[in-house]
Amino acid sequence: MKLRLALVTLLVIIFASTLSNQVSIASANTVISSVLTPPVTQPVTSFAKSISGHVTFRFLGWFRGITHEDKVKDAANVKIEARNIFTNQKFITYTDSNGNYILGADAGKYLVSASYSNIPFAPGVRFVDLKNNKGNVNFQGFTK
Amino acid sequence: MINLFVVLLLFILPLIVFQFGISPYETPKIFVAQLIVFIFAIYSILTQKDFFAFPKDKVIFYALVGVCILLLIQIVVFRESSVVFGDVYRFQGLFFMFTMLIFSYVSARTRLTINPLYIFSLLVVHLILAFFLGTNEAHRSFGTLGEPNSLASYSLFLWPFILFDKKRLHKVFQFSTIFIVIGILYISGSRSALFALLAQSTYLGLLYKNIPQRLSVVAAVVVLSLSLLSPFFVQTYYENRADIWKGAFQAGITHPIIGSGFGNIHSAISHTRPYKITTLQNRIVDSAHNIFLDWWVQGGIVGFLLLVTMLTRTFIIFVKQKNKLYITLLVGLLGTFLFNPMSVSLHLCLWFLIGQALSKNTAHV
Repeated sequence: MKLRLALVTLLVIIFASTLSNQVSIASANTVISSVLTPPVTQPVTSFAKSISGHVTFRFLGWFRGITHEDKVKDAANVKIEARNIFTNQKFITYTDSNGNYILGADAGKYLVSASYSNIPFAPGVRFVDLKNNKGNVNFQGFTK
Repeated sequence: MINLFVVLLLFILPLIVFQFGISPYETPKIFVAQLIVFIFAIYSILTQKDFFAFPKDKVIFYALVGVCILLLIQIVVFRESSVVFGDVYRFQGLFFMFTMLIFSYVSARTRLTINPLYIFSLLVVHLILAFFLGTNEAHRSFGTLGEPNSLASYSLFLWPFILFDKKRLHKVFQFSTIFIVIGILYISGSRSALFALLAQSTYLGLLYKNIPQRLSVVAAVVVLSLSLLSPFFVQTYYENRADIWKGAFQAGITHPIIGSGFGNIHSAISHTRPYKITTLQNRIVDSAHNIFLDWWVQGGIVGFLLLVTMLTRTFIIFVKQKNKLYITLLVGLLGTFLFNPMSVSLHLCLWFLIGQALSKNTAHV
């Protein structure tokens, strides 16, 4: 019985610590959209790391309103491109209806940019050294 | 009680879908499976008197021990979180493998008892949910498994339970089952499952003609082996398996003894030269799309041989027992594992069968 209890104790310690780490990794990669997301269907679309962020449009001009809520809106369908500065390999995604995106990519150094029609974005390009999942890579586009 | 754990993992888990992690179809299943296996193991350790008794089949037992040792060596050698946990879609790293090994061992003493009417209902539910949940970009239904090939493979795992139960179910259910399975295969568009069904049918057809068990199994394995030639003749942009297999083989050669580590497969394959000049040049491959190549890349020659040993020995034991149900299940699973990465639900089915061979259990449906 002592052996069994010892084994159970060991299992609990190892399992609990490992599972909690795994949960934190999974939580960090939660898709922000509330609806069921597309399933893992394409066999070639798993990435070790991800770049995520939020994109907004800032509407210029007094006629749009005065408050921040009037001026700044979530930007959907904005193209986000990450280009590896050494291999020139590109990864592309688009923001969802809430202006959020998650871009899967391999570890490396990237230049990340946003584009939508002819709208200028700030910053124009962001440098990301992707060693772990990188969040808050945000952009803001300026339009009338 | 033990039977309940196995039923939960094999038959209820595939229905679990909720938003957590990147994929609501796969990530929650993995965590729930690991939790249930953990509770199952604790319960077995504390309540089963013969838990520490030597299993009946030494070959499979020593192979399982060998896999354990390989995993422990990889933890020491690689020491990366990506190896321990795997990628964020499938989480099929070292921790996942340990969970499968534990499940295989603790479920070995279970004699699975389940009402085939419940299995029939499950098949119907999966078919309905597959329609309800829609299709992917390739217009293929994926059901609650999240992948069309996993859905089709799981239906091939369910239907033999109904086929081999002639006492409790009316023939109408057995005929209906065939149409339901064909329906699931059609809407999932799974060619690998079609090959697996062909292999299952070959085995069952030869048995019906009173061909000996061994020859029937060999014929089914031949059908599966011939199906491996198909990717070299038919290629699509998204699923260029011939190129993936070449890349995986090359990736395994870079670390031939103990492999690149379970969970590390995508970085291992992405650095191979043949992969870089193929149609997959700008894409990341997260699996070799073949269980043997997966183990070759991740576990090296040691892992590959251990897997071959376990599966071969499992077949031999089932043939000796004349266990038609388990042979049919294993043929169906292998047929789809030869072409695809699989959901945790299907991995549990495979390791359950290995566990049944470990204790030389016969099915009781």
